[in-house]
Amino acid sequence: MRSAPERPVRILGISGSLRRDSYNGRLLARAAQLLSAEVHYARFEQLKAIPPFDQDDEASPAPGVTAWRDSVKWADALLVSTPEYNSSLPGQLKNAIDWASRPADRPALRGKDAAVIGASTGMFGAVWAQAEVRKALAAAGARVLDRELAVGEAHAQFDNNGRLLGEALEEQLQQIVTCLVAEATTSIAARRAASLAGAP
Amino acid sequence: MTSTSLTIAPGIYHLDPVHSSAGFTVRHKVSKFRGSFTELDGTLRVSDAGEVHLSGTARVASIVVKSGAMEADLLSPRFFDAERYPQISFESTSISVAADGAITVTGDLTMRGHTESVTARGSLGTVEDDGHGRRLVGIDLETIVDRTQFGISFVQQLPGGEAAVETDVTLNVELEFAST
Repeated sequence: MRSAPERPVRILGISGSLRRDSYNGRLLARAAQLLSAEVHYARFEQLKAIPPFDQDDEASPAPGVTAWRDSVKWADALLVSTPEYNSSLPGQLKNAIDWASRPADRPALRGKDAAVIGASTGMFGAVWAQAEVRKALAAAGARVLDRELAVGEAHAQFDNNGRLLGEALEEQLQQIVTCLVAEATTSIAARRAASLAGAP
Repeated sequence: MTSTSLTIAPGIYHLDPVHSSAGFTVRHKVSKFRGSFTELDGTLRVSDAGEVHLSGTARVASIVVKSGAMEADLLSPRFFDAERYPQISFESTSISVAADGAITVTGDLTMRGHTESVTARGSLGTVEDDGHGRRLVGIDLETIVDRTQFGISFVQQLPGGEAAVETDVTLNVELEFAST
């Protein structure tokens, strides 16, 4: 049985699309609605403000980088929703993951739980992009759920209230957010047990 | 290890962590990469009937390799996930000792939340008096495990298709137990 954490689980939502009314933004919004009331959810909105990764800038990173890293550090878990560009993830999202994977000895992403979902206007729902995001997050030290949610033909998948029209998709999304919160709860309990045991 | 007798007197023996070590060896690209865990605990119990039971733990966060950055990587969810799984543990299910000190230990190894039965082979020796009135039991063991069975499924391929890090990992322990 999982023990209840001492504080609410914190989930950070990130859309890999910069477009104002993107389908991935809508998917994240729907995911946020499916989170239980006691979970703290925040969406990171400043992906565009993160400059390209440059090791020369690591000593004094731009404010956009600091805001991003601080957001990741705040969160127990990340929920990433990605579109697919040229069979892969958007460069801006990869760039953010790269910044959060540094510095190598204490990257912001290390030990964070993460789940990846995706929407595209094509048939396949960004499955390749999702796989790439999972791969990059895992390489950066995150604990990534081995699940995906592929919302294909996204322009026809949402009702006027932002719900997914397909019951199966709604159910999958619910399962993913529930699983992500459960994983984060387990991680919080593990960290607490380690601190009580005096581990570093 | 000096062996004076293979008869282990019944009783409880505790691990001497200073005179014990636990390490792993895995082929990395072309050479053997080694690491160890420095914080160990263990108990050897010998019943009046002569049955031997061995249990032990290693604290994952005590891992030592030749790079601090690599240690942090090994502790992350990519490998041991020390935050979630802070301990590696072993509990024997059967132990046999031959007349020449050859020992075979079968037991449950738990690592990264996965428990698998493993069999390790090695040698056992005893000293009746260590100069401080204690009996000592020394046990060296080696086994090979498939790390993917324990959820350590890191994969990286070299350009020629070879695995950068083999899935088979050799585990070695050299343990010294002292009577209480």
